[in-house]
Amino acid sequence: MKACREWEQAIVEYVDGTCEPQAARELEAHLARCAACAQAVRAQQWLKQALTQLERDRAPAYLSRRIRDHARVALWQRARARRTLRLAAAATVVTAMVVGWWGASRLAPASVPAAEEQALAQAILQEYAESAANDGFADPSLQLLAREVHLRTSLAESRSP
Amino acid sequence: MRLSDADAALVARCKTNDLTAFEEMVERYQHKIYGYVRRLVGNETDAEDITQEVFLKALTSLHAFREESSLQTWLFRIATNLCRDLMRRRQRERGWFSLWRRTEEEQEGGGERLLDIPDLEGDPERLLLREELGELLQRAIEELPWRMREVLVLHDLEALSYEEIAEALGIPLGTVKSRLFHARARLREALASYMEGD
Repeated sequence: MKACREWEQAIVEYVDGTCEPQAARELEAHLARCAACAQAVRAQQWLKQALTQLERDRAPAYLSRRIRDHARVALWQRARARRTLRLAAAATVVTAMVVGWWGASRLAPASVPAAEEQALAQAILQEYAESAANDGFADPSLQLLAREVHLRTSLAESRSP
Repeated sequence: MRLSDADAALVARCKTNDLTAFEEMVERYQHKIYGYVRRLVGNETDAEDITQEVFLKALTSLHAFREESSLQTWLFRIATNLCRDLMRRRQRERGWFSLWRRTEEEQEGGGERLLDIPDLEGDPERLLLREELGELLQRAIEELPWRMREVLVLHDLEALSYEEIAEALGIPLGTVKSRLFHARARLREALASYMEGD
């Protein structure tokens, strides 16, 4: 035997006309014995009927126009935000490229034409040789520089076709 | 509830920022959404603002719409959340003041007698010829607990099915029916007390 509380959902379906036939027959059998549930059904039917008679609220005519205007603004703002985002992304890429190029140019040795480099190397070597011959010793820094120039010149020669 | 073909086409167009499609969506659903919100929040100004917010939110969130529910259900879900936000704001703003004031009015016997028709067993259609009953119903609806009010308005006024309500509110089907039962019972009780007088 079900308690009255357990019939609540069936009563709702019954009043709404969505109750399965078998469930409706079971509920009707219960209603014949239970005055409280029978009263609940009548009350719900009465109320449902009253509510269906209630006038429906309709949105005022100007509301759709107002919504459309705000939608236009929202779409425009969104498009602008996307454009700003794209510009910011592009600016970031360009900045990164500029900084990268600048950094690379600072780190990389200045390119000197091969002919000039060779002439420079010869001059340094000559100065080194003269210094060693005249003074009996060579300036250590000049010695290092002469060695580097010599190496670079040899390397350039070996790479040239 | 799946998305209907007509709504699917409308949603697809709206996703391309087609303003005409958006206007069609507003035309199709604005009265139902407004009616629901109006019954929940109890005044026109807030109802208009929230209805507007529902559609603007829908427009900007369409990419997140999974199309597993109907467009109508999704819009009602947005409306429900916005109404709940408003109610929470109102509660914070008013705090205990409103409760104190209402209690005071009741103690002083304030508030007019609404309608002098004690016969509740009569034909509601006939009773509803009187404008006051509409106001009385609205007032009784507004005094329902919030969760019951949502279900009652969605089902009995906006004609959503139990399944649609369950989806819109994110609650089980049994809870929908149970809340509906108790909402109607409370409303009926409130009406009886109003109509029978103080």
